[in-house]
Amino acid sequence: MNPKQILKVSLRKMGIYKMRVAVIIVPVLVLTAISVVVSSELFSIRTVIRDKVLEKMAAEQQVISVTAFDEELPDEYKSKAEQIDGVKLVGFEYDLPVQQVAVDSVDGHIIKPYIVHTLTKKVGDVFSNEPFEYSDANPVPIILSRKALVYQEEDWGGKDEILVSFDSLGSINDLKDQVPVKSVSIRKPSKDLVNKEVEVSFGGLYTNPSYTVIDTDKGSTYKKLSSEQLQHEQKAREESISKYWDYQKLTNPITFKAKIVAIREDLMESAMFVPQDFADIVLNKITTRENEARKSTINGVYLASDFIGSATLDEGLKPTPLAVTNEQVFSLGEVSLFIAIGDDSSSTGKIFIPGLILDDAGHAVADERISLDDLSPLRMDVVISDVKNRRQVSNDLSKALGDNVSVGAFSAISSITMFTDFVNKLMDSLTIIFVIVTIISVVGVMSKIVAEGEREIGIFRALGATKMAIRFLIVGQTLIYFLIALIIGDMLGALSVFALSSKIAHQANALIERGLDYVLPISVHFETVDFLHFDIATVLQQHLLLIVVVALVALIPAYRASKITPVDAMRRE
Amino acid sequence: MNSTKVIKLDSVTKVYKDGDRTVTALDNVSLSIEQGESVAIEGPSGSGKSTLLQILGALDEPTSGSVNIFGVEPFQLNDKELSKFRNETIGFVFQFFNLLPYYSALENVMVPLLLGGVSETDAREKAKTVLDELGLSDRLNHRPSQLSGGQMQRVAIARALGTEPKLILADEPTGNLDKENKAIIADLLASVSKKGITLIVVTHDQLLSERFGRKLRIDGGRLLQPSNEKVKDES
Ligand SMILES: Nc1ncnc2c1ncn2[C@@H]1O[C@H](COP(=O)(O)OP(=O)(O)O)[C@@H](O)[C@H]1O
Ligand SMILES: [Mg+2]
Repeated sequence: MNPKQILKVSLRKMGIYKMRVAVIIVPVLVLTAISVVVSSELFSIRTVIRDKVLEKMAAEQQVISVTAFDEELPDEYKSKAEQIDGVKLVGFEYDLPVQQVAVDSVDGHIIKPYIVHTLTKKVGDVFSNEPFEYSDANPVPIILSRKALVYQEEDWGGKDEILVSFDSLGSINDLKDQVPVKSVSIRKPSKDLVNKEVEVSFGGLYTNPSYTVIDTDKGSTYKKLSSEQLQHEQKAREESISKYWDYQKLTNPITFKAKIVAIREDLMESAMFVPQDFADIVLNKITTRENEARKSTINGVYLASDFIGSATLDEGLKPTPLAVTNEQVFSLGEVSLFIAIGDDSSSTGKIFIPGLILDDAGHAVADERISLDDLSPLRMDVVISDVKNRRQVSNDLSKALGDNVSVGAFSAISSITMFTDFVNKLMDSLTIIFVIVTIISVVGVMSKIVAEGEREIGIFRALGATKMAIRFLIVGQTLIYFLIALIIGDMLGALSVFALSSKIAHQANALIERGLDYVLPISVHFETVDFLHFDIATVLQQHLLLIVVVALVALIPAYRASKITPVDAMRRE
Repeated sequence: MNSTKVIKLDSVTKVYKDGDRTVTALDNVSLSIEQGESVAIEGPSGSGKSTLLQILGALDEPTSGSVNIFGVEPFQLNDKELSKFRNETIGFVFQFFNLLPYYSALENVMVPLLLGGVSETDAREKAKTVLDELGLSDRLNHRPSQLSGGQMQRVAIARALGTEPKLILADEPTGNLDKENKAIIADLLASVSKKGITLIVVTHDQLLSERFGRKLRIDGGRLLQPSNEKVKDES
């Protein structure tokens, strides 16, 4: 029997054995469609991760952060780290005690990183394409963490007053939706932000908020302030501050031209990085300005500053009860300075005066300038020569430096590798299920078809068909049904991928924006095309495997069929 | 002459084993049939007529005895040779027509031709010609379910004739037909015989058996009339 005849018989018989053939076709078709969709989406996810996430993180993978738990990092740690195999270079990071940092404008918005770090040139060069150093002639190169790329946006929806009722809050996203003042992430890919010139400002006074929040036990009421109220607030602040400082001098921040040279995608903090040699310049300018702005010693005024780290207070200055215990000022996450006007803590008005510096020794509004030498390193950046050794080097660092430090062993790449491994296993499991289902349905259905077609096979035999021809017929018939299922399944799968891709892209964006953003600072925007990849190689491979399996399994009913004798055709109906 | 004896059965016995019961369907049957002869096999139900025909048609192997058909001992052949032998030498007409239900009349007739390696085009032409000769040119594309019993049996005869076999075997070909169709099929088979094709027909039908050169009676698996008793030879 030639293939054409086999095809003809198979197709004609399909008309008779609709339900039986459906038992082969439908599960295979469904599984094929699922395979196409799953492999395609997994392929898309892998591609997306590779192109949109890993590539971004490539530079970050080269740097391992070492942080001291409670102490400063001793100098000797640097030499200890440098001796470890696979370590290329080591640099200390300092956190600048500078408050109220703003970058204007990043993609048209003002962003305010919470903290400013310094990076040595060599460490900075890992992230940056141009030398990470300061020179008078050029803009200051800055690196921003992805988490810093957030701006504030107000949306009152035409109202002056909004009650955010606690009862109505199901999740953090509900809160996000209802509160009129929102933090919005800038999701531009780093290539669109890098090389942009911006203006960085240090110090200066916060603008007074344009609304108040009144908390009750029912919820929070956000209320817009009228222009009279705003003016009144402004005036009160100016009067209080002017007693001790030149208000104008404090109001204006110190600004520099800057250029974004890199975006760090790996950090969970809102930070800006500046070259280490730029640190002294900033510190110098700010302390000088503060000294100049100060009109008189502040007698009987409670004063504290809460820049990162701790500061004891200068003589004659007493802490506000709010921010200070045991004469130690702790960071509360805000970069600000509290003063209490009056003689004691119960007196009126606490005013934020950002831009003032206390050094480590607690010299508030220092008379002398402070420099980087006055600060202690809080983080050590260890640059490794090969990303593959990241885990090994992390372990070695932990061993060498002891329990006092935390070594940033977390690697987005390793967790992503784990994820893609899982994804591959998923596809493998799907194929195994597929093989099992196929074997069961093929053997079951084809045996049934053979048994019921005894008479017909007998006729073929009586008319001169060889046993081999009958085997070919059954194997061929099985393969034809199977191929039909595969083809329809592939088409359905492809259609589903087309139908799903925009939804998946939408969901993926929503997931990143509303959830993942808190966990991993991946800032990517997905397009429909990102989810339109087809993993043709995997699908073909799976199809081929299945076709071979089906051909082999079909031999069981085929041999049974070839045993049917022509005499069986003579049986009564 | 020996050479004209194209079919020779010698002491053929067929025993069916059905569980622990054994049935001797044919008991030591010997017979010979000459080239171009037309033979009717008669006998009561269960007497072994079909079994004999199956052995003559190389469809089923005897338990013992020898079979020689057109100089070939079919049961000595391997599967491939035997299949080719069935395809080329023998045409079979069954009581229940045994047409393939999902094929048209034309395609049913084409099946043995295609199995014999005839090209699709030639097979189609040949099948058309034969069906035309049997008066079925307006039923070529009908499925068996769309045909009457008489038409189905004519298609079956066309299928048997298509490969131009030397021997046609028919097992109660009119058994399931009305009177009118019985006559048509009888005429047809008689004309087949006239073409010089050796014809062996199992039948209860007096009308049909009267048309053939020789009658064989079989009862309880035994041949009643001696095989060499020749009544008349029309060829
Ligand atoms: N496949 C078989 N298995 C067991 N017994 C059979 C088989 N085929 C035929 N027989 C028996 O052999 C005998 C002859 O059968 P058969 O040749 O069909 O008779 P006929 O065609 O004359 O009616 C019957 O008793 C029948 O029951
Ligand atoms: Mg019978």
